[in-house]
Amino acid sequence: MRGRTRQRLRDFWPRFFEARSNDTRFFTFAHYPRAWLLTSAVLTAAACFPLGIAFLVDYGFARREIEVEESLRVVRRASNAKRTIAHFLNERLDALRFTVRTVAAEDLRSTEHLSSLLNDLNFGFGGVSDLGVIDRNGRQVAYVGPYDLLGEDYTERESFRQARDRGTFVSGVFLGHRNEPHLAIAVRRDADPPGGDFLILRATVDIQRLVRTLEAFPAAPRDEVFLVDRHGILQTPSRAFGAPLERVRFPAPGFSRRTVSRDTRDDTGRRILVASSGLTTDQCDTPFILVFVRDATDMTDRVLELLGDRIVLFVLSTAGILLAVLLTVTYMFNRLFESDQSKVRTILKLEQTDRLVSLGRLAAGVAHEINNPLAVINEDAGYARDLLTIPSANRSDGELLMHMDSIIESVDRCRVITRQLLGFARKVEVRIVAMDLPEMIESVLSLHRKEAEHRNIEVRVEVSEEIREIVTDRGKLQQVLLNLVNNAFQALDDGGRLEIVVSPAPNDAVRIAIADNGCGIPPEVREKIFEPFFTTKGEGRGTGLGLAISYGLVRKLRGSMSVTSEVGRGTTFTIELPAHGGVNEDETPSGG
Amino acid sequence: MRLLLVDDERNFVETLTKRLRLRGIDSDCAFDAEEALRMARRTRYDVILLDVKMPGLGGIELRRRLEELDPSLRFLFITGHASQSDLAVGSSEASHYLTKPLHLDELLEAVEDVTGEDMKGGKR
Repeated sequence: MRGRTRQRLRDFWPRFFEARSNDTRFFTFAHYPRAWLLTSAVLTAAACFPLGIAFLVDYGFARREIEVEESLRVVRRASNAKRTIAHFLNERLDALRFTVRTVAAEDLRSTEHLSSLLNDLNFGFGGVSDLGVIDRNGRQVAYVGPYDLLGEDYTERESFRQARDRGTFVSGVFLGHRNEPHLAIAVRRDADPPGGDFLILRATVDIQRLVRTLEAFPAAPRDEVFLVDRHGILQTPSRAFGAPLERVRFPAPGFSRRTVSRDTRDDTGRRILVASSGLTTDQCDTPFILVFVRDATDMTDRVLELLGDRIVLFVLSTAGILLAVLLTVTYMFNRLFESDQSKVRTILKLEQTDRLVSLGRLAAGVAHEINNPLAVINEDAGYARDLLTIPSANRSDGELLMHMDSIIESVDRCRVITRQLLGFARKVEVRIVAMDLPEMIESVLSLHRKEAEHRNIEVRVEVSEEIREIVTDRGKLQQVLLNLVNNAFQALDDGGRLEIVVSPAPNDAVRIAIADNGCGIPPEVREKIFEPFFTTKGEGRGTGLGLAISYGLVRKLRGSMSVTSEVGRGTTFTIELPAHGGVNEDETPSGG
Repeated sequence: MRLLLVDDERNFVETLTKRLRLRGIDSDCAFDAEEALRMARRTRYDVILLDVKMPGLGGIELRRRLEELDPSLRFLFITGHASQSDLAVGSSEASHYLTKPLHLDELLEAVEDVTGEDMKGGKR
């Protein structure tokens, strides 16, 4: 039970890494680990790519959602603050307006009255430092406050001009005589009756109350609310972006009555969310822009957290996919590899069979060669017996002697043949040896001599002078040559020509070309000619293994084999072998 | 009864001819197809023994030529191949193929077979 489970598990472990077999010519993949790796990579990539895209899109949406949400929150806070500050200014303007409506012009010009008004205003709202009345010529005609500003000329001041023209005025923050930030508000008292002289009531307001009001708005520790003017000059203090009347330390927001938000960076490069809104009162615009700044770090952190979650999910999914792909692909490749291995085992077994078939053919040839001299011996001996037994025979010693000699000569012929055969058989067992190549070719051809003679086939062997010896596996080379010569003889018509040319090749190699002028091989056949079980010889006549095996043997001898052919003109098989080559032998226990 | 023996194995065919003559059978021998054709034109033979494999014209082809010359000719084939089944060629019956080495009796029986004449009963 446990053994079976272990066997099952082994199916999912790549087994083709440790396996070594150089018989990869019969394998589906020449390089199993590489094919396995490539397949796994492609499948994993194909699965992970859309997944990655989906994660990215999802992340994009989620991030945008966070940013929009945060920006809306900032806008809302800015709007609230703006309403409160507008209310603060409206209150004070309303107080002044109420005053100019209810107080007679003469009373306004009176310092005592003005002084009691200042007390009332401070009682009601606080923070009013002084109060002044300016006539139509821009001259301050009444004043209560810490300075002696009676008779001051305001013709060139904004407070005078705007109050005169528009009825209401709110100034920006300035230091003034006290060297303390404050702002001025002014309202016009219209002439009564119309067409007469108008007066302008002007008050200076300490900004401390404004600042305190603003300080109530920040929600997060690093939030800031303050006012800037339209040139980006700070009107109220800020912690991180400058002191009052300094330029704010980030790109200044423009004046807009609607609250707008921006995602920007301050001068130090810190990311901030800025919501800004131009401040207006019921009667007039003010120079102020309310600014709400929120540090974006929290938001960035949330986005990063989001990204982190997505990455973890993606990595986990990818790992899952990778695992599934690896298991599946490994399982398939193991199966394929097993099937390839069993194919190779079968082919190696068939190689043995092919050798037996070659030997059978060889034996038939040998029998034929021996039967001829035997027939001669038979007749010679029979005749000698006739001479001795048939009375009418006219026997002479000379004639008897002649037939005895013929017997001896025939026996010699037989001996040559049997010796060749023995040599052939014995040398099959030998591994790598130095050998006489022409002699070996001769021994292979000797098996076809008679056939060549009968069929009028011209056999020509040409061996380059430089090559006499080759160091290789004799048996294998012999099997290859025998196979090719057999094929050539089958392809040749009677009266054809077989040429074996041995010449040197580059890299210390020997080239053996076996050329016939037979029927030739059509290109579509030539492509498959080295494939196992491919045959054109018809059912039962060829195993289709001869050339595949020869090809394999040549590869084992570290050589190469190729074929060129032209239909009707003939075929040339070319083998190149290292002249002093070893053998790829170690890999196949049943090989050779 | 006259026999022509055709084989490129000179010693074999010459000695066989001598042995047949000793047995009172008129026999000639030829060593190749051309010679055989020449002799068949000159002399009328009853049976011709042909080696299947010969340089140039083989036995099977030679038989066709000889039949053209004289359709009444009878043929026997001889081969060095061990088994007759290797030679399932031509139209003749298997019994008309003889294998080397040859037994003289078998040859004579085969000749009787194709001619219908009793030869062993005759002179030896």
